[in-house]
Amino acid sequence: MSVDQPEKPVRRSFRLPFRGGSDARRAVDEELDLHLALCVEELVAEGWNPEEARTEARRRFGDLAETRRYCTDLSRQRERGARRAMRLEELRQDLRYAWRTLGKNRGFAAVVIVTLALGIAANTTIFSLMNPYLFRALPYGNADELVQVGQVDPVEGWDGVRFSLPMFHDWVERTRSFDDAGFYRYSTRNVTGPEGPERILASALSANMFEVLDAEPALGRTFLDEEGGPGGEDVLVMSHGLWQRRYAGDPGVLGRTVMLDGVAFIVVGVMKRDFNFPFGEVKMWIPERADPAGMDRDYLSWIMVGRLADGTSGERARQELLAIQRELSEVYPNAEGRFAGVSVKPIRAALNFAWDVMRVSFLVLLGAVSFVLLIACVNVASLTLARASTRTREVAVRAAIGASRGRIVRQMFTESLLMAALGGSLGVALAFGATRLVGPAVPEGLFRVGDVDVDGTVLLFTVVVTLLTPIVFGLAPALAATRSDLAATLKEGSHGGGESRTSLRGRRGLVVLEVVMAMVLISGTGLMVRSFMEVQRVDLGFHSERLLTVEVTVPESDYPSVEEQAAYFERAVREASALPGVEGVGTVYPLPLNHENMPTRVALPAKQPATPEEWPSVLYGRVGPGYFESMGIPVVSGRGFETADAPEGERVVVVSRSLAEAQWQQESPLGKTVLYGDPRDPREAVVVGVVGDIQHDGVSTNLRPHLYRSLSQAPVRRRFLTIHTAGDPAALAPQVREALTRIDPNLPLDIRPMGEVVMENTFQWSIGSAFLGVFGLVALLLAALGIYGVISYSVARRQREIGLRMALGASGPQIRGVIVGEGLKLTGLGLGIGLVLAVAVGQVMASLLFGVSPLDPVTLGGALAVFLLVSLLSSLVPALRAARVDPLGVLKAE
Amino acid sequence: MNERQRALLPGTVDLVILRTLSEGPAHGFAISRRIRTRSQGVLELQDAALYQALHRMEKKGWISAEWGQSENNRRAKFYDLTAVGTKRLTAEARSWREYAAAIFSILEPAAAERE
Repeated sequence: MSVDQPEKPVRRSFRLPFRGGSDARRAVDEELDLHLALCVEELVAEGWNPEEARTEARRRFGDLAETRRYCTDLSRQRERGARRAMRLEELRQDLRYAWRTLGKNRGFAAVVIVTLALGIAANTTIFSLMNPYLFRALPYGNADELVQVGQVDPVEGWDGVRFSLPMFHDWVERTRSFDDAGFYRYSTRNVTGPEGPERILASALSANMFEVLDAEPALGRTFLDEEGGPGGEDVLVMSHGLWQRRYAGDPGVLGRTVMLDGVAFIVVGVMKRDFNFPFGEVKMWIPERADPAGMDRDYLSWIMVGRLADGTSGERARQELLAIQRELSEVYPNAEGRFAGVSVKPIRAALNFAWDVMRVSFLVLLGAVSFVLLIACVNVASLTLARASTRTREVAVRAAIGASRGRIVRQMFTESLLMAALGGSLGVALAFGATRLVGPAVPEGLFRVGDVDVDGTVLLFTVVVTLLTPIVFGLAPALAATRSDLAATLKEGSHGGGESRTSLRGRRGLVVLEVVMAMVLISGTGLMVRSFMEVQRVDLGFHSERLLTVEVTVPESDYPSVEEQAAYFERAVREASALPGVEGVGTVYPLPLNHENMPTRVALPAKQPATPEEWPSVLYGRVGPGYFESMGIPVVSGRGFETADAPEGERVVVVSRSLAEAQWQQESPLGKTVLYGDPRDPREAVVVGVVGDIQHDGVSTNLRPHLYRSLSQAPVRRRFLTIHTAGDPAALAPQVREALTRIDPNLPLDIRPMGEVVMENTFQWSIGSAFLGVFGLVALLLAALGIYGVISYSVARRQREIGLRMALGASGPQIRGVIVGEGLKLTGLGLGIGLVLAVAVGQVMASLLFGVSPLDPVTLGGALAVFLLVSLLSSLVPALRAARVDPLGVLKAE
Repeated sequence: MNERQRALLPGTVDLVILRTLSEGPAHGFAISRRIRTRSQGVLELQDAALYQALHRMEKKGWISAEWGQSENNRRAKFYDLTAVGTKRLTAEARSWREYAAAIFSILEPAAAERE
């Protein structure tokens, strides 16, 4: 390669005569001393005696001390300025030089920049995914002051027990910990109007809640004090998103009437885009109208949020509230008296229910992308090292004409920095695209602030990462390249120079490192994919493939009586059953795997536990006729519910197999009486059937015993139709909607295939597998490239040796064996270390895994096999090339 | 002329030094003697002021400095005009000439009257 002409930087190195403060001082002293000496000489020549001449010279000079100080100060300032200017000039030159060098090595630069861009894009994307959940500031003023208060249930250990309004008012009256406090609850409402019927989550708030949250509307206003409580105006504030989607962003929406469950509300405000409370799916806010006067103190429906007073810590607030709870326990043993403590949680952790799972997931993903970036850096380092060794001559020449080692290292580092900066810019551009793809795939239900996008925080993160990469990949090669012996290099001759032994050893080390990291990543991916496969293999206890679900809530306004409600659902089941392609229809509340459960407690009359807390807690479902058949839940003995189970008839229940076994062991439960409900006031029912168990709470949770009642005897306004279809359930959705709309055009229908509901429950593993799969593949590819690069380089370097061996009789297969063996040796070392690390990483991931051990032999063995294969392939290509070496040609060329 | 009159007017120190250096590089002592000689001993620049001015102008970039050998082989700091300094000198000299001309045009007629 050509040697660039040594330019200014070298000459500049000689310019600065003095460095540091003491030098400036000495220079000024020397200058002034000379002056005085010359003056004295002059005076002596005029006939003064030397002693007096010295005094006279000083007298004539003026204020010597002041001048000395003044000149020294100026010199120092001047030198500092000059050094700064020089550094800036050097940087400018380095950048220009780097730009030219990269321009001359476009292929190399392109590979490096694209590799880094991919790594940085992956990091930026993952970070921008985490940002709205974990880092972005909450839209509640100084959100650090906001806390959510709960009471602790002594039996369940649950620390988020809610408050009744009488409780809330008594507590807030007594506490001094809060500047202000409010309450909220939320529920789904049927929203009707010309825009069509829709189910929307609405939150009922205390009138001061928006002030507590320190949130301003984008349009209109929030609530007035007099709008809270009984007798207030029915007003409504909506979210920015809903306003855009349902009302096309029309500002005229203010003052309009919107029907919620048949009641008219006047729209008074629209919140800002970022506002979100208590989580993203809540799109409407209305003032709480419930009357605390005469309310049952044990009606625990509201959640308390407080803004801590200045200087009050969460813990101090908790202590104070605990004292209040104790004080009120004396008065109300059946309300406050039932609870064993108070919890005060920061608002962010309180609103994000998935906080724990999410933190581990993000940790794993971030760890994975960091590994990808590190592998990318290692690859680039290896490339840079290879290139650096071909540059030793250039370096030697520059050193010979006076550039210091630091100066050359800085120059080479500038090149790395420039490539990193270009890679980072490209990476951010890629991340912009990636977040747009990934953003919508993230479920809306979890608490987050704003959208998944690339914002200032994300960019800052990317800049830091980008600036760190050249330190990882650029510094070591630069130091290695400049360590070489100057004279030896120059003597070596004019050709580019081969790769030095140390450099090849360095590259081999890097390949081992790469294999280690890729091995960890691949086995982590394997564990995640295996978990996903296991989760999909879980027997749910029902068939979810050909099943369509329809969520319907009949509002009290249109269906005031239980009979009217029942009549609607009977008709709905009849109409749906009549559709072609429908094999069976049932009704249920709550739907399995839909994140709702209402447990109850059971016992046998003869074997009642001593205390209420010892009554076993079981799942409690209400189902209609045909439900078990439509879901494919087997009826083990007895029967399911029938239309004959009339509301006023004998109270009947169906139990799941595990409940039957737990309570009656070997006996048949059919015809037996069971107690259920509140242990202090239980109800009796007769068991008429036993059915199979199902996964209700989630796919990965333990099976829980299930008690079913008939919807005719335990009616609710909100139910799910479960429609068993002959073919693709989604294809039948339009007909179902049409049939049900004919019954009542004002009812919102939420129609979803059961498969979609199941998928929500496996999201954690599916998205984990997808992300890790991509990262793992990239890592594998990069590692393969690394192995290939080093082996083919070593083959190229050893052409002469190989030629000689062949001339001496070594066969093609023998040569191939040697080369492939070299590749396997590198991989083997990396795999050994990687395996140990992979086991450690598996432990970190343990809480995210399902059905596989972190030590899963299939995963680890598979990862090993894949790696051996990959390394075999990547060294086979150079090995084949080596075996084709023409011994005569190589030897002649020497 | 008494001591007070021999001192340079404020604002003229830099000009005088720059003018002196336009004859060639010199160290501090030499500059001081050149000024005394050229003004036939009329003008005298105090040494302290001279050195402070030299360092001030060096920082401003009007003059540059380099260490070299003095006439009798001692290490001395030699000052020289820079391009910026030369420009500065031309501009200052012009404005002084204009100023002096203006002053004289007021003083001369009076002198003529007295004769």
